[in-house]
Amino acid sequence: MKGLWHLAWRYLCFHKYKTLVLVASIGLIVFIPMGLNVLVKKGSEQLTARAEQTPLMLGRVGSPLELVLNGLYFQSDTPPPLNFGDYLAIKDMDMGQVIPLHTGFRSRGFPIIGTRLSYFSFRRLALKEGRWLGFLGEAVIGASVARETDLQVGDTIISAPETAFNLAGAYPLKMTIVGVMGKTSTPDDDAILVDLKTSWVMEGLGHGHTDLSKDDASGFILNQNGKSITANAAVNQFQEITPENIGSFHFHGNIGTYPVHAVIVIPKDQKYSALLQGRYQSHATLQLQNPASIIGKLLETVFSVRQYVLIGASLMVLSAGAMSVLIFMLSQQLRAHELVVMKKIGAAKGFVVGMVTCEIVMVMVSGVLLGMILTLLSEKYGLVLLQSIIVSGV
Amino acid sequence: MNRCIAMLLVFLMGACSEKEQETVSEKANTNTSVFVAVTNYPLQYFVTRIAGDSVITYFPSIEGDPAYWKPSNNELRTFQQADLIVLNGASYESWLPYVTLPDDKMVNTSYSFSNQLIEEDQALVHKHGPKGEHEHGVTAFTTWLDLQQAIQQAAAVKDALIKVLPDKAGLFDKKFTTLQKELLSLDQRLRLIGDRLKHTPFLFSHPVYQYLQRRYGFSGHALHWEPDIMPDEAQWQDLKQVNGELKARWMIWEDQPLTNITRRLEALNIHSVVFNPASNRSENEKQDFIAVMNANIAKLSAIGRNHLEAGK
Amino acid sequence: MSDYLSIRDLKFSYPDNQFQLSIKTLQVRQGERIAVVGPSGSGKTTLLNLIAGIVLPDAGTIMIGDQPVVAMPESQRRQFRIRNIGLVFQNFELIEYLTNLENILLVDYIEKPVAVVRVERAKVLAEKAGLSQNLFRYPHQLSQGEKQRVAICRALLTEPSLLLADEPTGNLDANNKENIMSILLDYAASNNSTLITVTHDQNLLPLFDRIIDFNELVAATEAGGR
Repeated sequence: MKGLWHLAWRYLCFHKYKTLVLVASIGLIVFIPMGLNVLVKKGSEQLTARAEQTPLMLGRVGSPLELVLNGLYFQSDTPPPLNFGDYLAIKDMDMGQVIPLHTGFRSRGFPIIGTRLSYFSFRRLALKEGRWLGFLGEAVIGASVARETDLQVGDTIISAPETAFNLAGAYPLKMTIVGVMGKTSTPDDDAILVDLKTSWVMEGLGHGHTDLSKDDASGFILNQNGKSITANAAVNQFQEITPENIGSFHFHGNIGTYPVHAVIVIPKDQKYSALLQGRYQSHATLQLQNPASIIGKLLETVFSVRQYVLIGASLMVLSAGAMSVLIFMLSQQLRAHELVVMKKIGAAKGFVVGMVTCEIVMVMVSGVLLGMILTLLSEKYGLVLLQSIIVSGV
Repeated sequence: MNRCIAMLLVFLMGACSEKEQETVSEKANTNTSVFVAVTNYPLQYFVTRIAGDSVITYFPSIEGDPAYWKPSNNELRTFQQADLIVLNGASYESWLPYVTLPDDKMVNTSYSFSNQLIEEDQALVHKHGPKGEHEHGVTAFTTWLDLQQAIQQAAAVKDALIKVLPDKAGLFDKKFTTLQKELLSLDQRLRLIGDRLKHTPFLFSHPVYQYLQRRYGFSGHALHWEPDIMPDEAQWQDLKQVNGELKARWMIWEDQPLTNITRRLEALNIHSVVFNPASNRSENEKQDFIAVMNANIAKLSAIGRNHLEAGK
Repeated sequence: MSDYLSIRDLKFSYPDNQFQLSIKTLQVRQGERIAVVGPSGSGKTTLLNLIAGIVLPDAGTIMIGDQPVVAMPESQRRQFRIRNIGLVFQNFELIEYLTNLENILLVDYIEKPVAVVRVERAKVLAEKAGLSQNLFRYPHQLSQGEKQRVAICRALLTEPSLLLADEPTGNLDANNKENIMSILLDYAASNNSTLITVTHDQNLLPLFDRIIDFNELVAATEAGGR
């Protein structure tokens, strides 16, 4: 018996490349359906978990999927904004907690999310180093942002300008990183979180500049009529908020018209949830969506696609299996003479069959083990790896 | 295609959550009492009067007028970790636009009368370009000097405290009622004085008495004089010019002015009276808000009766 | 010397009946060293296969020692072959994926666990055959002569009493032929083992005790069988 295994093992080791190909084929045959299943299951769990964690989302009337994808995952195009006044209105209803989100800007490819402090406790985010947001112009970055940009507490990051030539519009703002969050394996890892007011500064709705009442500001004054000063376009607007100039920062216009792109709504209970949904059901300009329901519909589509993917994968698995069998049969044909010699020397027919069976068992077990290891690895790292591959490709 | 990639990316978010050092909700200390942060002394007084030992009140140690205070990193962090942040509103907290605070923990105590706030017409405003948005003017922020408004602010404090500690609603209501009575008494006494002095013009060292003036009928002109800095000649000239028409014989100060200032004012037949707005805590612990206001009222009530000198 | 190998009335044909073999009688004494000569395709290899019990005759008896090989059940026949018969092939027939030492020990891998004493014997045989340096190399790394020496060591591992060598020098040069034949003949002489060698090489014939002309062997059968 020991001789069987020894001879089988020696055969496989001698033909290592063929053995590796066979093991890899079987490993893939095992891994592809299992791994696909794990990835899909994991992906849908995470998708669902984040959506279920977010009871309701308020946005401008439009595509519910765009609103939810943007508000939950910071992907997709930025939806048209609603007004801050709409946020205040739902807040004043006092039917639950509300958290505004501004998602209009990016830096180095990462989304800049303007929000409130309550976002961090809502998403159960934790700091790895530094502190939470305190002052205008500060940023807290996710674990992936820190890793990929090599930025840390004390460094600065600049928002990407909407356009280089829009002097009256959004302009790049240099922000100081005060905190780095721990890894959560959620979209928050890729986010740069700032105070909502900082996003408004990026929008150009707030700024800091030279004090126009001072004598040395005369060059920036277009017109002065009594107590009213009109500044010209030359006025030096600060592109970085520092402890020295922070006091000069102010906002113009009506804050109620300031933009936010989504509002996370956490009703106090089911009754308030129903009340809120009723109020916004036929709203002319706003929509209140249940992210879990939207993502559920998305998953139905994905799962229906998954059937076809699984069919395709199954066909691939079958053909890989057939190829493996063919390789095996061909190799046995090539070994026919060797097996005849063994029989001549004295090996029983059963011994030869046993030896070949041992080879098959070793290859199968190795292949299955490989497939299972790959499946376990994909459970832990698969989604992140695939995402980085796709992101780098995009 | 981009939508598909976005959906696929979204779908590929991985798992494995880890809890690390701290979350936003972690308190500065491990004390489980309710922690209330306030921005000026009147609010601290109202919280203490209504909630007593039920809460821990935090009012930063501030030199001078809290209206001009800017929080340090540590102070801001303490505010962030409070269960309740009691704000005066009416632009009192000029630092509010550039800090990050949990807005579900904040209460603006002047919200109920926000449409009655006084816009300071003496402030310099600016806009960017002929069609640019205007900056809003400066809002008068010593709202509690109108004791009716002080009662509304105290009521807002009470309501906010009840939301945080609903089990103590009865106690808070009772304590508020007591406080309300005391504030009403102050209000009535000031109204009587205001009635008596409604034709008496006043000078004010700073424009901080707008609500006092509006509620109780004190009229006059506000300067920008510091009690501990001798005004320059231009300022004295300005005073003479203004008072030439006003003919005020009384100047209200936030704090005791220098002796040489009072002497020179006396020479101009202007007597100094201190009306402490009680923005900050008194150095004398026995001088709580009510005691300070009582002292203020006593000084005002002596006007026109005994021609008191400045400071008494 | 007594008969060690005795064949009587042997008849064999392949399933397609293209080839038929008949041998009336053949006796070989123990320790005798026989060379079997004859034209290619005459059935010499088939004779060796029949003697070894690899194939069974249609009729007749084959006795080795006092053991009726034909009458044995298959497993017994195999066991008998492993223990008593050493086989040497023209094309060496080494297993390419086993080291030379493993090739020598092949019988033990097939039959039973490899014992330490057998490993020692294998090493001794290899040393005698001048293969000590090549034990852990593979057949493809050896010359033709070295390969055949490995094959002979394999055949001699069980100290067989009967050696069947089918053209053992067929693929070797003159030097190696001499070398190989001396190993086989020396073993047979020193162990009183019977050696039956099929060969085409006329130069080797003087080394043997007896030369059997296969055609004459078969013809005698035909003459006797009519």
